[in-house]
Amino acid sequence: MHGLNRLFSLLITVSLFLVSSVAVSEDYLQELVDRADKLNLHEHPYWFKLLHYKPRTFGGYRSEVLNRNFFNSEQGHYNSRAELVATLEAFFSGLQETDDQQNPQCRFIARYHWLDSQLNFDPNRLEPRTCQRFTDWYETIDPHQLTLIFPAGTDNSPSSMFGHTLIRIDRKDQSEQTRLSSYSINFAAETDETNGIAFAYKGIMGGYPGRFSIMPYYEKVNQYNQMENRDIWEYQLNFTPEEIDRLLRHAWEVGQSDFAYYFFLQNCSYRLLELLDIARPGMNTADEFDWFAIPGDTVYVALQQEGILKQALYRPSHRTRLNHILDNMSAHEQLLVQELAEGSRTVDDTALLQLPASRRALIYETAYDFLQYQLNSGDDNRDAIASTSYKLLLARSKQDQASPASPVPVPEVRLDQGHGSSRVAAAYVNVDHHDVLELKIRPAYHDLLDPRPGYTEGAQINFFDLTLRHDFDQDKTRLHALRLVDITSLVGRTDFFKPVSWKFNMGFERWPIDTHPDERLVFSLNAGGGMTFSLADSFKLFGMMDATALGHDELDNSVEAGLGPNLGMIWDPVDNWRILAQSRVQRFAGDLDLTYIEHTLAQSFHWNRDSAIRLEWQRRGPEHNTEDSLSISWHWYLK
Amino acid sequence: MKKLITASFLSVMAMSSANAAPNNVGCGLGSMVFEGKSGIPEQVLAATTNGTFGNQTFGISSGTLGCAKDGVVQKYAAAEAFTGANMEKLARDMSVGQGEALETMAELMGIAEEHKASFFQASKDNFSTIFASENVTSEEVLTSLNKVMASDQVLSQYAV
Repeated sequence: MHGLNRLFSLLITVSLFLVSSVAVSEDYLQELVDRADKLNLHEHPYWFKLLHYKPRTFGGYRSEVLNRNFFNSEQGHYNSRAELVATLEAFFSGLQETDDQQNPQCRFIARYHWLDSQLNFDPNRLEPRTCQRFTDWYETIDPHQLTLIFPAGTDNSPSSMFGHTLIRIDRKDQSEQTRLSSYSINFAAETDETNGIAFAYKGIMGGYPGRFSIMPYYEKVNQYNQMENRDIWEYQLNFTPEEIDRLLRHAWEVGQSDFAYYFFLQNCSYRLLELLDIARPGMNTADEFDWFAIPGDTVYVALQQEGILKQALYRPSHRTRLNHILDNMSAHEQLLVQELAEGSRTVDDTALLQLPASRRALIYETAYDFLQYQLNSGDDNRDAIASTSYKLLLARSKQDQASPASPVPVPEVRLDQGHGSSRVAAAYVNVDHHDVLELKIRPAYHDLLDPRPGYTEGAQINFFDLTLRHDFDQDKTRLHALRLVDITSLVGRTDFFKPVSWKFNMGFERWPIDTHPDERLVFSLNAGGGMTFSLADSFKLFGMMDATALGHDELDNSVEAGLGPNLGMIWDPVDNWRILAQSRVQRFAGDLDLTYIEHTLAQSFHWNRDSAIRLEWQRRGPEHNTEDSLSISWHWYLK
Repeated sequence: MKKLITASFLSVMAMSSANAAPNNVGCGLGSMVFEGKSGIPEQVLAATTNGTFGNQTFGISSGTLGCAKDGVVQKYAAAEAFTGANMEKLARDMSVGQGEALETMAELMGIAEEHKASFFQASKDNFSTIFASENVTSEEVLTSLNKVMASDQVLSQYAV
């Protein structure tokens, strides 16, 4: 009986204590809310950053995070004060951390730290929780330095035409040689979609969620350098330890959240700028982008921050490196590489044994690298490649030589130092003795005549290229062309690399579909494939077969199809001067029944990366009714 | 005409193709050397790109999954995971006796700066033991490497 009494009184004491502690925490919560209100914290720009709030078109704000569980309040995605109050309340939770759940102080660790820095939580009245999972994660990553990673674009893969950006978190005590094992944070569209059409459409229209993920840097190097043969630039940034911690805490917080992903703006590069902006509270780089966030431009803007860049390092792709080694070999050595790789010569062939040991070692390495290139290019002859590769490495291991390969020279101009990807141009054009003023606007990205430094050679990628013409004689202004997409890839073939040249473009253009040339606005779709040969570094010839489909209301809603060759040459007499000459013929059978020809001679000269002048002559139209135009134009490039 | 516009707009973007890869839990074991990355052509219409890729891509704060915890490979598995994902580079570097993959491997195995040269030389000298054939798996490579190290005066302290 006595025991029962004691138990009873103990129970009462405990429950009294619980009640009072709830009361205490309620008091303290109210106090914190009052202080937050007084400081107007819910309208603080950093609170908006943490919640990813963006102004809405018709007033108010809304978060770009799509998940409800990113918020503590039901109204958290648009009501910043409700979220702040609910967040403070959640910090009093006693929830234990398990593999499936976290205490709100850990789940919202960035918010916790920021609010603590503003309100100075009293540890006696708001118990700080241990965040073991975050701590383990943080210690594995071992953050010391942030490096912005910028793999170049590739026009052979349109979803990464402009390049990509991610952040690498470097560990302490690493050398440049061991960066592969650092972690990197990546933002990408999340989808299992295998249908390219659906992917593309949804990617542009925002049909997929985007998500952050983390992976060892070697995964990304393997993907970009090895598989996709894209050069990478690494920008080591000056961020303080406290700034780096802010970034990691926020990455932890948004790690499981979905964002709206839009290919042109709310893409990888935009989200990475947001992460950097979180790291450094005064920085607002993401706000500088309203329509397009092209990776090169975002890197440029980030690097504009005073003193932010420690150093930039270049990591050439597998193919770039291979090209460099091959370029420095004699024709005889190149042939040996090729024969070893295809298995028609063995590693102990006399032709090889006659060579100096260091050249032999280099040839083994290079033949191996060439086979790796083939393997990564989708050559499915795995067993033959594996067997030859293995023999090459066995032979190489018996050469007591350090690698004689010379490093690839670092390009003088980095990817972020090229011309701005938006372009405005004004031209005076004389069309069949009419004076015409032309205005061109192209939001993105690069054509064959634009200044080349910092861009991939032979790749043209234009989006939404608009041309307006004002005819002075007729005093008329009209749309001359709107090219929605315009991609051309002219990469020279060599003994080792045999890329296909191709092009694809579509949009609205003036076409001579009846007796009045240049009169009708039609929708045109054009694609072609062929080859390019580099006869010298500065001289290329290309040839393609070209097909066109035209649609126009006056064509009875039918589609006209044309086919014909496209031949041309590109010559660079000096680095900042390029001459492009090409001829196209398209034979339209069917109702249209005409042969369309187009001869172009264009040259472009630039004295800096922000402006260029062009001179262009063109003859185009139906075979027996062509017109000539001569234009001089000025091009401005904007970041 | 409208149809043509819609169809062609979609078709150009079709080239962008699918991005994502499954979030496999790759701890590196079991991958064979010279496997290639199965059917990702570098040529026209290559598809992977800016999406998630690779077998060690994890969600941040996603809990424990295989050898990864909240998105990062746990320390005990780091060398395995690295080997599995970098067999071709590692084989090349070992045969040459130098290189980034080999440096990283040394770091992940905790080899001290002053012992790195021995590690590099031992991997080169014993290349044919460590990579016993063109069909070895990463597990076999690690087992052989471990044996080589165990029988080396300097490196035996790093063998498991």
